[in-house]
Amino acid sequence: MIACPPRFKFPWMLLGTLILPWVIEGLLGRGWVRILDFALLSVLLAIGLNIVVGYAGLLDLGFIAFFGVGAYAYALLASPQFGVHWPLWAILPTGILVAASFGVALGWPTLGLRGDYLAIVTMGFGEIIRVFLNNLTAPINITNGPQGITMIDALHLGTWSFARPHRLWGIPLPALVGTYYLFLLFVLLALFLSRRLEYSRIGRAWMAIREDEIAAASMGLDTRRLKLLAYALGAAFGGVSGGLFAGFQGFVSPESFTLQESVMILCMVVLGGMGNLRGVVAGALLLAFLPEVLRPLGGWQQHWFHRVLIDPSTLRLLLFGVTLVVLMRWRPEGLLPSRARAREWHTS
Amino acid sequence: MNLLEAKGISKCFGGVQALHNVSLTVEPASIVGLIGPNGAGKTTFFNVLTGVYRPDEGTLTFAGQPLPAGQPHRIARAGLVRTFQNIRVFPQMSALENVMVGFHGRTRCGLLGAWLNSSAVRREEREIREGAQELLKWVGLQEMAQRVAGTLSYGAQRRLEIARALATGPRLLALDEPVAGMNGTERGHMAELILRIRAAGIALLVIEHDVRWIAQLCERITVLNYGQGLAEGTPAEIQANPQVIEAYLGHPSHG
Amino acid sequence: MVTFLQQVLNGLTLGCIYALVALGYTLVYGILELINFAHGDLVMIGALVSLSLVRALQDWGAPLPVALAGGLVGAMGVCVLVGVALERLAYRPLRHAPKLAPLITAIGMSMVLEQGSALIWGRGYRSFPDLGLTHSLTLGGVVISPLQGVIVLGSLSLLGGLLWLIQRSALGRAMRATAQNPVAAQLLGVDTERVITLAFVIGAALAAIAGLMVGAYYQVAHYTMGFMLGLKAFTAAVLGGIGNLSGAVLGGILLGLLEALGAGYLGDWTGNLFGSNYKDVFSFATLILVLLFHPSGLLGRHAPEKV
Repeated sequence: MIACPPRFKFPWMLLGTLILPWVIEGLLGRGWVRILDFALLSVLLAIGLNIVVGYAGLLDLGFIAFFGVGAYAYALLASPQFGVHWPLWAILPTGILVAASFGVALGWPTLGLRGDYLAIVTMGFGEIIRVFLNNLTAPINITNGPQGITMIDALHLGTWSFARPHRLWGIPLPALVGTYYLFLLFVLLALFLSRRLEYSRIGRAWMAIREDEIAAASMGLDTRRLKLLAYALGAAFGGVSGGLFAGFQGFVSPESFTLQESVMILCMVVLGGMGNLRGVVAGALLLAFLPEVLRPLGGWQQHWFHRVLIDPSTLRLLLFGVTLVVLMRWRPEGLLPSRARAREWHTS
Repeated sequence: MNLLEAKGISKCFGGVQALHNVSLTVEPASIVGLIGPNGAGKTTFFNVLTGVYRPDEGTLTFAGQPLPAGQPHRIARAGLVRTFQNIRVFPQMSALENVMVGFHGRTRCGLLGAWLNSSAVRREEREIREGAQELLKWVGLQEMAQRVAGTLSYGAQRRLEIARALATGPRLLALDEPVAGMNGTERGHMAELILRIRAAGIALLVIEHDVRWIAQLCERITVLNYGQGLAEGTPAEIQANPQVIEAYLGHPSHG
Repeated sequence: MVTFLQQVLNGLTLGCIYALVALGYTLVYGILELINFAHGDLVMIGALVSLSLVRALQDWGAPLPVALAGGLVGAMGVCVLVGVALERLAYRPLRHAPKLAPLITAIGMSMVLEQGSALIWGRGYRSFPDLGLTHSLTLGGVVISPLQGVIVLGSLSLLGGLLWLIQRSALGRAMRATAQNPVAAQLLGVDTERVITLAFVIGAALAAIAGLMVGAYYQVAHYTMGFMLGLKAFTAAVLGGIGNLSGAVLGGILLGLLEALGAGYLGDWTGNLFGSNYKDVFSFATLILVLLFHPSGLLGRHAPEKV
C-alpha cells in the first residue's frame, strides 16, 4: 500500500543523532564513542545488504567479502604497502567500483539459478576471498598474508585529519566525535539513496521479482539485470563501509572478514525487518552493541565460578544463530517490519 | 501480414514429447481460441510462446520479427504478453502497484533518475500512476486500487492480471484459461472485456476448455490433442469437425 | 607416474568422504529442495564425538577395535539425534513459509551447532587419538596406509549398499516417490513426514561415519571443520546432479580426485605460486563452472520450473 514515502520526523531525529556522541561520551566514556563509530559502519553494511536481501529477496551469505574488498582497496591505496597515499575522495570511488565489480562477477553466474544456489555460492565466495587475502603474497606481496596491512593512512580530507582532535569555533571536537559525524554523513547518504530507490520504478521492480520472478519477467522486467543491479549496489555500500573501516582502524587483516561476520550482518537485517530501513538501522545498532553488553559476562563468571564457562564471543555468535532461528519461526518480518513484508510472511 | 506466426514448434521434456510440430497464426486485432483436452499441451505452447521454455524446434515470428526464444522479458517488450492459468499477481503488492509494474518496460527512470528524483522522473511516475488507475478502471477494479492483490477475489485477480498485462502495451495478449472456475455471469463479463480489448486494436490468443464460450468470441480456433495440432478453422468448422468431436467434444464438456 | 597414482589414491580417499557427506545433502535436497547448511556441522559433531569416545574408551583400557566401534556407534547416535532435532525444530515448522525462511534458519542452526560445539570441545584444535594403523603398504612405489584402505573400501561398500537399498526396497520407493511428487505420494499412502525424517536420519548417520573418517585421516578435529567440508560436499552433490544419489557418489569421488591432482600439479606447474594453499579454491571454481555450464550436473535431469 505504498503510495509515497512516509515522512521522516526529520529535524528531531537529526538533532538527536547530532548530539548523541556527546551524550554517550558524557555518560559512558570515550570508549563507547569508538564503539558507536564502528556501529555506524555496521549500519552502512546492513543498509547495503538490505538492498540485496530485503528489496530483491536474494540471500547473500558472503556479504562481508565486499566489506573486505573495500577495506583492502583503501589499505593498498593509502599505506606504505605500495608506497601510495591516495586521498579519500579518490579511494572511496575506486573501492566502490572494485566492490561493485566483484558483486557483478559473483552474481552473474548464479542469476539464472534458484535462490538457494546463490546463497551457497556467495557463502563460498566469502571464504575464497579470505583464501586469496591470506595467500596473495607471491610472486608479488599484495596482501601481506595473515599479518594483514598496517600503518594505513588515517581518514583525512585535505589537511583535516579525522584521527586528530580539532577545535571548531572554540568548541573542542574530539577525533572520535569528528569521525562519528563523517560516518553519520555516509549513513544518511546511504539511507537517502536507498529510500529513493525503494520508492522508485526500480524498487517496485525488485519487489515484483521478490514476489514472483516468472511473472515479473513475463511483464517485461529484465530480471537478470535488476538482480545484478541489486548485487552491485549492495556490494558498493559494503565497499564504502570497508574503506572507512580500514582508514578508521589503521590496519586490516583477513580475520576481520569471516563467515561469522557475514552472518552477523544478515542477522542485523533480519532482526530489524528485511526491506525496512528503520528496522535495519535498529537491528544493526542493537547487534553492534551486543558484544559490549556481553563483555562483562566473562568477568562475572570469573568472579562467581572462578573460571570462564562461556566465552562471551562464543555466546554472541550462539545468540546470532538462535536469533535467526527464533525469528524465522515466530517473527519472520523482524522487530520493525515494513508493512508489505509483514503481510508477505504471514499469508504464504 | 500475420501478427504471430508459430511454425513447427516442438518441445520435449525428458523423453516426453509435450509438443510436436505445432503451428498457429494470429492476425492483428483478431481473437484466436486455443482448445484441447487436459494435457494436450496448450499451456506448454504458451510457455514456449512467451519464453518461459525454449522450443526444441520451430520458428516464432512476431510482427515480422523473430521472437527472442527463451527470453520472457524481451518477448513481453516486443508486444506479446500473457496471463497465467494459476493466477500469478504479485500477491503482497497493491492492485495499483501490480499494474504499475506492468509499465516497467515502457518507462526509463534509471538509478540516477531515482536518486535525483528530477521533474522528468516525477512526471513519469505520475503518468504511470494515472495510467495504472485508468487501466484498473477499464477492467472494473477502480475501487480496489489500494487493496493488496492477494486478498482480492478470484475473478478480480484475473482481471488485475489482465490490467497488468495491458500496462505493458501489448499487441497480442495471451490469456491462459481466463474464465476457469467462473460462473455464467462472470464469464459474460470476461467475454465483454475481451471484446473491448480487441476493439482497442489488441489481438488475443485465448486458451479455454469451454468450446461453446470460446466459439462465440473468436474468429478462428486451433485444436491441440496429445501435443499436436488436430484442426484449425472457424468456430463453426471446428464444431462440425468429426475428429475434434471425437477427441474433445466427445468427452463430457463442462460449462 | 608414481606421484600420479599416489595423488589418485589420496584423491579417492578424500572423494569417498565427500561422497558420504554429499549423499546427505542430496537426500534432503531431493525431497525438500532445501540446502541443509547445517549438514557439514553434523560431520564436525561426528568427528568430535567419536574423538572423545575413542579416547575415553582407550583410557578405560578397551582394545582399539572396541574403542573405534564404540566411537562410531556413539557418533552415529548423537548425529542422528541432532539431525532429527534439526528437522523437527528448525525446518518442519517452516515447510510452507517463503523460500528465504528455511535458508536463514539453516544458516542460523549451523551457527548454533558450531558455537555449541565450541562450548563443549573448546575453540582449539583437538588431536585425534592415534589409531595405530600406520603400517603402510607399498605397492609399486605407491604408499597405501591401512586407514586409506579402510576408508575407501568401507565407504564404497556403504554407498553401494545404500544405493541398492534405495533402488530396490519399499522404503527406497517411498523416498523416490516423495522426491518426485510429495502430494501425490501422500495421496498414495506414503507417510511423507516419516520419509523426510528418514532422509535426515540416513544423512546424519553417514555424516557421523564421514566425521570419524575425516578425524582419523587428518588426525585433528575442530569446531569449524564442517564448513569447508560441507561446502565441498555440496559442490560434489551439484557436480553429480543434486537430488541424484549415484550422482552424489560420482561427484564426490570426482571432486576428491580433482582436488588432489589439482593441488598436486598446479603447484608444480606454477613454481609453487599456486599450490595446495589454494586447494579450497578448486572446489569453489568447480561449483561455479558447473552452475554456469551444466547446472543440472552430470547425472541430474533438468526439471523445468512449474508454471
